[in-house]
Amino acid sequence: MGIWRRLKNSLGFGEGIRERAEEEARFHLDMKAEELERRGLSAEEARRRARLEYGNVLALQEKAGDMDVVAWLDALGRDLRVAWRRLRRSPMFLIGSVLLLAIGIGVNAAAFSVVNLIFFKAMPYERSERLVVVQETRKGSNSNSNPRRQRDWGERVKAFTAVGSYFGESTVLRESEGNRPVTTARTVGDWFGLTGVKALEGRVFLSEEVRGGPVALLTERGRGLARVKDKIRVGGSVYEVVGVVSNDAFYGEEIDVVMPAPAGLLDGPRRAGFLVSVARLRDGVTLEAARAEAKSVAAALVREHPETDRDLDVELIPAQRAWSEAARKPAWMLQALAALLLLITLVNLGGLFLARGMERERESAIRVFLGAGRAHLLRVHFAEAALLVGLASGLSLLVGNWGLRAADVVYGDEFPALRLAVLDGRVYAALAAVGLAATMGFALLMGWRNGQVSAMPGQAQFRARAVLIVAQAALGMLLLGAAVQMAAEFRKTQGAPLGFAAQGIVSAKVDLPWDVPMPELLRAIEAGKREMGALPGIAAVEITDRLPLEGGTQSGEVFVRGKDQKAGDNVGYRSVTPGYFGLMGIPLFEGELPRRENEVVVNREFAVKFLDGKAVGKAVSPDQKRWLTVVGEVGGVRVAGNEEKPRAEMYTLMGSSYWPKLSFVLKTSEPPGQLAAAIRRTWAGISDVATVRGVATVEERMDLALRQPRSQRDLVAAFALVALALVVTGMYAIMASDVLRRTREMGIRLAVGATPASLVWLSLKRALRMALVAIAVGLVVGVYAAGTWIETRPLLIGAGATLLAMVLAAMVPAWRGSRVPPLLALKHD
Amino acid sequence: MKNDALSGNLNLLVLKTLALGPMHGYGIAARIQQLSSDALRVEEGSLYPALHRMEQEGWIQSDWGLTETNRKARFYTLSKQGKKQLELELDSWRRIARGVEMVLAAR
Repeated sequence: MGIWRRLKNSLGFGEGIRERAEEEARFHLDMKAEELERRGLSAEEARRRARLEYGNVLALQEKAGDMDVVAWLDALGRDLRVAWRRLRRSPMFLIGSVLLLAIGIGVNAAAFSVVNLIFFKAMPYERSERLVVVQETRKGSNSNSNPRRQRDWGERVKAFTAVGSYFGESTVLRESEGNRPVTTARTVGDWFGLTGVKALEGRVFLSEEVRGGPVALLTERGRGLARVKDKIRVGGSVYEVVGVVSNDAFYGEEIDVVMPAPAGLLDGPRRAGFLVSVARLRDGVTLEAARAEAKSVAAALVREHPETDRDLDVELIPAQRAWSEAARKPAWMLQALAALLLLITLVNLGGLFLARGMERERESAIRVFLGAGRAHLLRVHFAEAALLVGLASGLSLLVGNWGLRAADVVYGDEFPALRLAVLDGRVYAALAAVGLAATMGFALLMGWRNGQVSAMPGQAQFRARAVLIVAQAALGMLLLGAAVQMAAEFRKTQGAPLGFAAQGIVSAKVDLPWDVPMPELLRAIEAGKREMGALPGIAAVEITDRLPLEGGTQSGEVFVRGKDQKAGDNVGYRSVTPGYFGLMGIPLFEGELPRRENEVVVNREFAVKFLDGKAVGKAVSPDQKRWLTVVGEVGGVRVAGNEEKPRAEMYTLMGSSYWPKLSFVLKTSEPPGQLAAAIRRTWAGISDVATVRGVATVEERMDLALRQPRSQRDLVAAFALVALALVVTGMYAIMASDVLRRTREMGIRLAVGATPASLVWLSLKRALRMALVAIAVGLVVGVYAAGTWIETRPLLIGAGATLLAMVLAAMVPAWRGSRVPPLLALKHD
Repeated sequence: MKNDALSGNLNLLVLKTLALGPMHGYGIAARIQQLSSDALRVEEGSLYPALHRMEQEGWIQSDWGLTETNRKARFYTLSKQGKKQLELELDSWRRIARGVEMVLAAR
């Protein structure tokens, strides 16, 4: 009975019961008071008595309403509707608080999801806390292992139950339509036994297949490539697909196909270094004991293999720690920043609530007068809080997801597992709960304050809040300064000369597998240059190992003839065809281009750094055995998007060293889209194992290479904007409540002849004072604590922007306060 | 009479009062008090919830109207269903009253 009607009421089709009750109550009170007055009471006393006798009608109504679920839902729906109506009447408050909450929750959810992944979430391996990385070192710096040494660790260190690892390889899958590029993982040792990763379908490798068995696994990612039991042809060999494993099997790395490393490689030279081994600790063995044993084995290996294992030492690092090493510090910093941000957003939210509470004071006073109990007022406030948090949660999902994707782009290269980071549902729920609790807390405070009809905040409260705003603005100023500095650095890097001019040039990346023999590689290079050059519309074809801005390929030591000492470390070695410089617009400053294998050109940076500025005619060597004559000096090009200056580099002739990843540059008037098909067809005819990894203009490649620094800049800019928004909302809230608090004072001043402009100035003076204190604090902190990092100019720009933002935020309420008609202002209390 | 005892019969009293003609809430309370020679005082806090409940049951209807002093007030009228309910409640009241009387008259 009555359910339909109640539902109707709660959905808003019925007449507003609450409003009706209020009106009826008011009528009743009036009548009662009149009657009491007729009996001889004073008007004031009559009203007081009427209220007393009336009792707490609303509270009683609510008590009656709480009797069944429908009534409870009815009440909830009604409260939410009332709350929404109230919120809509204060758009500034609504937008401000939803934004604050969304930023606070979203950023923290993203940051904590990353922290969670790095520090707390177990790796997707069986008892992953018992896995250690066997990190080989030589003279204190990390070095890589090879299958033979890995076998030694596994057989001789008794603290290990298993040792294994994998390495990634880009290769091709032969399909009927042509070659398809795939990323493979080649396992060395029993990777699946070691990690406990199980097959989702079919099986993993059997122990007899671990050494180069003709079997393959697909990851979920590569599932579309074939079916279990299919035969696939990868990089020239045939494998039988035996199962499917999870994408997580390689901790975030994007792998399509998994195969055991070929047996030949397992018995390759002990000198090679391309592996990092992972071991499982035997139960009951401590990390320290295992480390001591591994070190003694390392010492034995040094004695047994003095040629290859000279200076060998070993360190055991818990796997999770090792894999997340690079990301640990940034992650903590990110989380600390995010937590600080949450704190600031909550403080500002409190400010907004206070200002609004004061604006709504009059309305609440009426409700209290009508007999609305505290409980009722609280319920309305709670409904508002719930509504705000609900809206903000939706928005914060967007913020959080954007944050995670940005983090992935910026740090994904150093820490591929970042790809596994998803907004954690529980983290998210916890944060939303914090937001709800805080909002409810503020609501409670406001509700309690409103319960006491005229509890205006005093001067002391204003001071306390002003201190908070000042601290916040000082911090905001530092953040802004940092952001300005980073943006400026980015712009400086981006604006730096590239060192080449490659308009109208199309590049085609062609990959051959790492095990392609040198003669075949040379044949492919030559055939590629010849056959692509014969395509219609191609004026010239040249080759480089990697395009500018895309990073270096090989680097190493360099020696200069006539000097005993090594001239430098980490010097870039490039291979190009001689025509490459002309095609790319790289100037030849002196000498000529190389024509023979023992001739090289160096760039100006190399010449200045190692050859006293006079390069031509000198002899350089990577190892003091093979000497190369410098025949020319060319201009430097930028190697990476985030590096301002070119590195010192040396160019050898293409084909004089082994590097099977080629970038062809083609001078053409044809659009790359039309060229792509022809280039692919050409290469399908040249080689069984080559893949064309994409055809694009050089400008497009540059754009791609700049993606990471650009995301970095966007991230910083976003932080700066958030900081600015925080300062603005904080300032707005405190000034709004200050102006409201002083409405009466304003009215008096207006009544005795003050101009509105002078009143605005009165408020602005307060704001200005706060801003100046904030800037002073920020400058002191900036100069002494962060002085080495933030430069003066960005710091001053940050200070200026903060000042401007604070004054502008104060303008709105100050102006509004000055416009109140004097009479209304005087009536305010 | 204390309110506790009254509350069980509030529906009856209100319906009976409204049978005399449409009335606003304040008038209902005043009328009950007057007719009972101040013996029964309806607490406002229970009157309005009762009125709303009865309206939801369909026994009474309400609408905005003007009082003699030209003030806006909510007037309640007895519906057809309400008349039936009044008779039901009167019957049950009389039965109970008779019963109570008989118990009290026993020696």
